[in-house]
Amino acid sequence: MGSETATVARSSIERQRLTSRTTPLAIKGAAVLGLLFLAIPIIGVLTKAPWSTMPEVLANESTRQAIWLSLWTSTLTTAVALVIGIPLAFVLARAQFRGRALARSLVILPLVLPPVVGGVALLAAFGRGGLVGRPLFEIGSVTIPFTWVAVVMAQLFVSLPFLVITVEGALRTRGRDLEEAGAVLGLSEARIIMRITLPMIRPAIVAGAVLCWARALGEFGATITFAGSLPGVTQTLPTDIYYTLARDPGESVALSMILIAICVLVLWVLRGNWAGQVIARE
Amino acid sequence: MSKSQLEMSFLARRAQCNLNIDLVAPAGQPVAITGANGSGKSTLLAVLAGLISIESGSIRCGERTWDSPREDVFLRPQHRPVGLVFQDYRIFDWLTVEQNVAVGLKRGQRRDSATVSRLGMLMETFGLSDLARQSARTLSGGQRQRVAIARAIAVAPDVLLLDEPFAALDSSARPAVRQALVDSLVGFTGPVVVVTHDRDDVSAMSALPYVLADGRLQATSGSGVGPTNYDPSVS
Repeated sequence: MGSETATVARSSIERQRLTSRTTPLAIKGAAVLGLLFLAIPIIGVLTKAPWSTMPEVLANESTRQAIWLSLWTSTLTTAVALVIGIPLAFVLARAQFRGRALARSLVILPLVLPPVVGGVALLAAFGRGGLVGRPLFEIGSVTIPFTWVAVVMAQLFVSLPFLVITVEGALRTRGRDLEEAGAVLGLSEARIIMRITLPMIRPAIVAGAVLCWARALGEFGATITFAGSLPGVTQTLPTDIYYTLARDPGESVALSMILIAICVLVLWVLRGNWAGQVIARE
Repeated sequence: MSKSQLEMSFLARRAQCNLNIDLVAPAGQPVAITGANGSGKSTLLAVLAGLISIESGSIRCGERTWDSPREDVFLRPQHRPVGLVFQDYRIFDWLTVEQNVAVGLKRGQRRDSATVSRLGMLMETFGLSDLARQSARTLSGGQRQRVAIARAIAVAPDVLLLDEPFAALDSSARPAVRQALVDSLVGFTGPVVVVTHDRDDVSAMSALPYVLADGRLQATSGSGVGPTNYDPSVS
């Protein structure tokens, strides 16, 4: 009798385990819906793709300029973000100072701010009549808006937070254990950073740089507000796509395909790195 | 020999435990410390290594003062001639085994032929020669522990601090690594403080046994170098 109840109890536990391992239908359904929502626009672009005119679009001088400008400005933006973003992440994660909460809020703000507002803010600060822009113009006759510098600044404003947040998170979760070990081994503070801290958070630096670069590549709102869309000077792929849409929808789809292809290519190149871990995560 | 003994008499406050330590770790004979989990054994080693500063009292090694708030002296970990084996190894995964062991050496030392051959012997002693160029990421727990010990010894410290240095090894692998440690300590004349739960460790290293309880150290058997705060009513 006793053993019988034990058997019943065990089998009911096993059944419980089984049901908890199978995902409820409602969740599955919602998940499929979510996946479709993300997939359908991509499929939509593919069905509209003017394959026959693709070579023509690619050969177009303004398209080539836009591709090239997008690639080098987003790469330069990422490089600048690495140089100033990693130290900023260090300070936010490690330093104790008054106003740290304010500093972190400032870093997060561009993430929640509409990019077009960021562009207006940049224009207000660095435009010819702006807080920084006026002295720059009056003393050095330097004008920033509607130049490639403005393109990079607009991209940096919206994409820097991605790098800083990613690196700061890694610094927090990894703690200081390994750096302590380095200190006891006699490594100077500078060598600890170079030989221990930076290699330790390398995956987060790569992940942050990829996010930052992708965000910079796709930047539209702040760019068009602060840098405009002058072909060959400040016209990036996203602004080119927007203006082409009104004139020639087919060509704008073709340009979008180029942007998709670039992003897929980058994901593929980085498959062994962070992106690979995200895609193949178990 | 007595000039390099490690003398400590201090109070250190931590969230979990306050340490009130009086101990002379002699040169040449290890001190073994046992104690319940959370009794502050690892904290004590962190204090000696300079990762935690003391509140009052002093820590001196030979002629040098490492930490003394009253004298306004605090030597940072980098400037204490200490080798510390952490309980959780703290191996640098992005380096090879060889690079881990040599990471504490100065640039010039790494080119010095005497140091290179000493390092080679150290790797050999701990059975790491075959793993030298392997990434530390691939190591097992036992291998990590051996790398951690070799790395601490490689910097040729005056004082060696070991936190459960054999805990990750199963009972069959333990005697060999313990012997490797004893072998590599031949000719080492400085103080050794080892935290351990294994009585065999204490006897194999012919260490002076102490128990850490309620933040205080007590000698567990008659020895010439007992703590000054020894209270026979507590046992």
